[in-house]
Amino acid sequence: MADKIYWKGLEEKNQLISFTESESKEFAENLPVVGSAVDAISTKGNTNRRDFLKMLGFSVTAATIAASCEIPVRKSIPYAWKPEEIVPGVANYYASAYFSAGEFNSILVKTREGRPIKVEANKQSTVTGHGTSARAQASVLSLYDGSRYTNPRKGKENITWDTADKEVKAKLESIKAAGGKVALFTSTVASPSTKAVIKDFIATNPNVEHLVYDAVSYSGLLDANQQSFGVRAVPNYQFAKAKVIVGVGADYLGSWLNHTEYEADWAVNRRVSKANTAMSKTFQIECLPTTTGFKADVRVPVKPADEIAALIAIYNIVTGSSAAGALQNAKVEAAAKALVAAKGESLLVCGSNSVHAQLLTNAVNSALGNYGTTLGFDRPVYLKQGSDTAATALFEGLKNGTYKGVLFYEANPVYNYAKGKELSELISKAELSVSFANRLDETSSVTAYVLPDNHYLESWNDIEVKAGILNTVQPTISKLFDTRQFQDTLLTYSGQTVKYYEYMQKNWETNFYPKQTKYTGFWAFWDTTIHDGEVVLNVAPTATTAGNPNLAEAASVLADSVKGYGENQLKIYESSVIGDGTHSDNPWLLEIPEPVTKVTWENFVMVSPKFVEKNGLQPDLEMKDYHVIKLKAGDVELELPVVAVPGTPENTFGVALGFGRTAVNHDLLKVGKNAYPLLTSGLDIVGNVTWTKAGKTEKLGITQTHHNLTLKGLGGTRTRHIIKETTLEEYKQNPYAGNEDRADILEHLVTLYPTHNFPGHHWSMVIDLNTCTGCNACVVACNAENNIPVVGKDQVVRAREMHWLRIDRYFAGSEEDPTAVFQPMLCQHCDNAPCENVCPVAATNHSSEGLNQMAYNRCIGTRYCANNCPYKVRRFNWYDYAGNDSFDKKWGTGNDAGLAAYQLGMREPLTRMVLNPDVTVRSRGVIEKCSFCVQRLQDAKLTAKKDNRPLLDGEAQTACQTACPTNAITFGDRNNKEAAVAKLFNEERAFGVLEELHTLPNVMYLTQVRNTDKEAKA
Amino acid sequence: MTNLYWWSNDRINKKQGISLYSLAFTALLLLFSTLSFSQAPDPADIAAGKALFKANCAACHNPTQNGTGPALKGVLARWEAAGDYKGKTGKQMLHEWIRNWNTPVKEGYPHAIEMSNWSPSQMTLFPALKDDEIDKILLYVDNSDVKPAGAATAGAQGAAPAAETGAKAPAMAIYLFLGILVALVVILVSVTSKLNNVLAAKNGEEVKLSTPFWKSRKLLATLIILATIFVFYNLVDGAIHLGRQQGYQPAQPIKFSHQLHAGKHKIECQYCHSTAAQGKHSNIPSVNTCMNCHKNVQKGPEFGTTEIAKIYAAAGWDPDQGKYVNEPKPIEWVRIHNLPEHVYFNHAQHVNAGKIACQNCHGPVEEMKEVYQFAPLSMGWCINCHRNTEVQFANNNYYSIYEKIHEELKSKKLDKVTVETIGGTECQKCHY
Repeated sequence: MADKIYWKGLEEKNQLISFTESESKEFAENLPVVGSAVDAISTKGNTNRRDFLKMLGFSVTAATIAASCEIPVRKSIPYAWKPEEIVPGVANYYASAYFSAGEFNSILVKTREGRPIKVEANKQSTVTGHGTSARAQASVLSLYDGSRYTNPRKGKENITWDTADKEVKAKLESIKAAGGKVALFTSTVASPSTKAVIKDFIATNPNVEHLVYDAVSYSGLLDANQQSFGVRAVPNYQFAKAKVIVGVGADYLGSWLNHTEYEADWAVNRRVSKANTAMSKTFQIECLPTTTGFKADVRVPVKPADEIAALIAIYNIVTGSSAAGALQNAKVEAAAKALVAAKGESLLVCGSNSVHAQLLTNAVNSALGNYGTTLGFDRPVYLKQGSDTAATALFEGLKNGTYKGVLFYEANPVYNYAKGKELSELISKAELSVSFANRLDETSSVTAYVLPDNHYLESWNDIEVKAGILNTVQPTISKLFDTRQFQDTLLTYSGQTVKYYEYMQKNWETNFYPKQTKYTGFWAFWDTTIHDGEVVLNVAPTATTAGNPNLAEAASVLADSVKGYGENQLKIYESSVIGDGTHSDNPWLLEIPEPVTKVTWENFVMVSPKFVEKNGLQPDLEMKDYHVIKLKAGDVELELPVVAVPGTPENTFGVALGFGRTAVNHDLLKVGKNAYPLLTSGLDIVGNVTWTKAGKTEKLGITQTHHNLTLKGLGGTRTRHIIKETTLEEYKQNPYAGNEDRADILEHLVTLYPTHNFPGHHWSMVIDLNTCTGCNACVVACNAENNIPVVGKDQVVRAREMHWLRIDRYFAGSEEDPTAVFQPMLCQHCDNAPCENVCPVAATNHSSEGLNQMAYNRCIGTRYCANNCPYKVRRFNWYDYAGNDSFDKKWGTGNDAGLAAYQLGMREPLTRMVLNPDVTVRSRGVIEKCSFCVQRLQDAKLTAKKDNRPLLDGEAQTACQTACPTNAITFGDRNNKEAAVAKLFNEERAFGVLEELHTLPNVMYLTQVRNTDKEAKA
Repeated sequence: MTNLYWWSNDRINKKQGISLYSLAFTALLLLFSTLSFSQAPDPADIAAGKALFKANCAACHNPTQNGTGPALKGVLARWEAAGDYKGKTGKQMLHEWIRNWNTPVKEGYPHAIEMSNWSPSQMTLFPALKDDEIDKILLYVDNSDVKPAGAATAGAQGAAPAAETGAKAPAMAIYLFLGILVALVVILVSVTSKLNNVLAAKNGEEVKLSTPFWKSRKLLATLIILATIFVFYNLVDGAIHLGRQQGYQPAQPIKFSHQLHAGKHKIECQYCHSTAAQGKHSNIPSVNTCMNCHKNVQKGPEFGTTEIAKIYAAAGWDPDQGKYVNEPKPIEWVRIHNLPEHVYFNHAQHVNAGKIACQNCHGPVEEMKEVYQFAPLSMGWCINCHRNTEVQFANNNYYSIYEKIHEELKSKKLDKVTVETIGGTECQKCHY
């Protein structure tokens, strides 16, 4: 394994000049920066002696004037009446829940002085108790979004709630009187109390019909379960109980259903140690590369239609049928055999939205006897309830005049319904159209009325994730704007005077309180539930009735469809970071590199490297220019840049959903193209696509080769091992497998210089490459915790992203069928740090607790440290991103006005409310980097001191660690021999990246172990 | 460079203003006391009554103002005027009321019934009070505004800070005086030398016309060097002090005196600044904390009701009705201790974990009528303290993990553990 060659991207694999240069370079671009202040003064683009003197003179004068300015008077305004639970400077945490677009996270909301600033995982939750998703982490930013509706609106005008209520009520009445119908169009409502509110509303307005749809639909899966078991719900998947998992186009570690829960469950059987070498075996059959595919032991790249053919093959082998259209593939066969071998402890999941495909999947899991162990309806999952017919019903109903009015709640069909454009015209013609959106979106910009809902962090609600598992949502800030909770609005229109909070309480008292035995009083039950955020009720397993679906017909329908897709096939997928597009107006998310492709800020056409080569579409990597093609599928044409991604089969195209939003806060957020119009059939595969060159290029910010660690050791040979990998078989025989060279490296670490002492703590981190799925939750958590600025696409293209933590992705093997490893890369806090020696002003130095410290106020911006850092984790502030420089705020510079951060509102007082007050906002011209969340360490230490006790292991946690859904990150004090991190640090699998440079990193990685065998390799 | 600070004049003026005010106030008090001395009750009895009043009644009553209980001045006269009832005089009824207010109410004494409806809160029972003690309390209540002879000392105290700020003025005068002396010497020397020359010329001796001293190159060089040193010293010194505000004493919206509250009345710092031991910030008390006492204390010794009225305005409290009538609004205090934004300072770390007294950094607050910034709050000042201050090494179990240092302490290799010993002067202890 040791001689395996890893490559970050095709540039590296093919050793292009631009890549080899970037390895040795600190920054992607040469100085000076075009358009900078220095540049503006000089005439020919270079500064001469006179300019220097001018600048010097100006600086001295400016400094003198600044110095003689009056020191401003600062007010210190206490609370008029201090709430008892608030201690200024001490954070409060409130249990709540994030539920959006079918994604659920049980969370704790960290508030400072009544202001939510961070989302943490609710570790008590039985569903997502390990971590959070990237989108849940980013949701706190949308609370402070500049595009939030501040008032109820009629057209573009702000109106009062009284006027709005009067007019909407009158319209509802007149439609009712005329015998017309009104549609209440929502995405999945997982809240039982909200459902009750809707029921009440329909009771008083019987002409209202509730239509439920999901932008990314699981209708096929739900309908199949209705047919197979008489239950229209998602089964309760238990990945932790599965010894063999086969995924067919289901990205269950990235975007499929409630992936945060599945990631944690999957990780249970992937955490190997000498004591426990039991490991699940996972197969992933997929057309487009996903994190699930690359984490799988066996990845089977097939064309989109062949995913279906593979499913038929598995069905045939497991059930002994001989349906036509099965894919002939040794790996698929192996997967099916593995499923059979692990009967009752295996799991097949399929990502297709075809009822027929899901019927076969159910049949396979039934035949394997998996129901009741790895999946089942003991507690059905209620996170997706939508039906594909809902949107069509609305469309037709509005068209033929059945629906005179329409109300939209958490629904944006104008954007995410295939016929959204026509729908928007129908909406504007409807007698009554109301949107309850809390911020600008495509649908609310065409409805006659907008009655803004509260943000979820300002609301009361409940969410039934699974039958009997209820989560509560509680407000963590009082309303920022003149908004009203959707449920309160509906209650008003039902003629009820009760507030939703009281309504919800009543509902709980009558329906849920009797279903538990722990508490004898309702208030004790209620208060504890609100405090804990989750309650598990005693409910009987949902009764299933064995249906008798026609499997033979299903298989033949599928076989026919496979044939019809033709040569060029397009797969429309959900990006694991952006999701269905509800949150693609969130700058934090847009700047996150998508885990597999590492593309930021855009969607694109994913193709195979061969395709690019064959058609002369190679990008200009120096200028970051990518060729744009026109992709035609049916009547829809999309113009998108082409990106070659290893592992994509030939003649396969992939386009991500969630981009191309048009009604967002700023033009800079209008990125990519909307792929929803392609989803006309409800299925994610479109056959017979054609393409032509658009004859132009587009710049893309692809971070995969931005911060390259050089693999070249002494003598220029590529001998350094950044990634270490082994197989389970080898690991069982030798725990040092894949890590054999470490002993030799450690032996050669000698120094003449004195070493550091760590008398108290010695902070260290261990990252398990085996359980890291590259999901990016840690990156967003780090952004939120450490006030990391958004720089915008333009700056990412210049390799100036500011993320302190990035996830490097290394490929190995062939371009057609590579394997990949995800490696979170952050400051390694080297105990012999190369950066510390070169700082001329000692702004970066080592602490007695093993931290590589960075004093921003001391930094003069020479960037020597970044130049000397072998891990390339130091980031330079090219601009004043957060707007903390008073000069800029008053006068600004022409240069900064075009800055994305400025335009995206990151400098607005509203958005700045998200900043963590315990972390300095860095100014222009200084270096910054990961601090191991020193503010959290100091806080934990202080808590221990106040309690007069030693610090406990696991008490000090970094933001990335708490966000990780798979517990891949362990952090703690290595001096404490009992600490988890101390034990892992000395494990056989532990290795430091570039350890041979004698940097003595405080971050260790555990080797990736794959459960592959010879059979699958062949 | 110090004259760049915008507040310097303000500070001096304000100090003087206060002292004048307090002098006038003292004079008024003296005048008042001489007038009221004509009633001449026994001062010893009044003093005893005052002590009893403070111990038992002052929590709810004020002699001259309504608080939780009614204003008590003239209470005896009022009860006596209410007349006898069932063979008991008004005074006896009052005594019974004070010991247990239920007794006269049950008996049906009309004035007692009227008074029992004065406020919804019930009066505490004082069964242990003896008749003579009650008499003394009542005597004090009627004579509470009579000041004992020593009252004038308050004025003297008020005037004291003015002298302190005046210290800079004499220094200037001395420099001016020295300057004049030097000028005189120079003039005299030159005159003497001129006269000598004239004398020499008269005597026919050869006159040695020495180069005048201001044309001496040596002197010129010395002067230039001195001037350069002076300018650079001041530049560097000024740059170092840039943004520092030691001595900063802005005018506050309410003339709140720490001298009175923390000094005279010995109220614990953390009674008001209650979060200092818990969190990063030591809070400025919200107005409800003020109201805990000032519902009753309606008049201050120095400004009377004017300043306390500002608290009431902020709290929305109507002292006449004895209840909150308006929405409270916060008092906008001027922040005195300003740290740069890149400095992290945590009060709990110092007050709770470090057991540092507030005065270490804030100075003798209990002597400050108006708070000023005592310490320079410079990095050098912080570091110095971190170098010299011992941590609670033996007393706090948190430090038990520092095994090596504990051993060194035991073997006397180390005589003390300062903040610096355990890394308290490293950058990321305060900058992150």
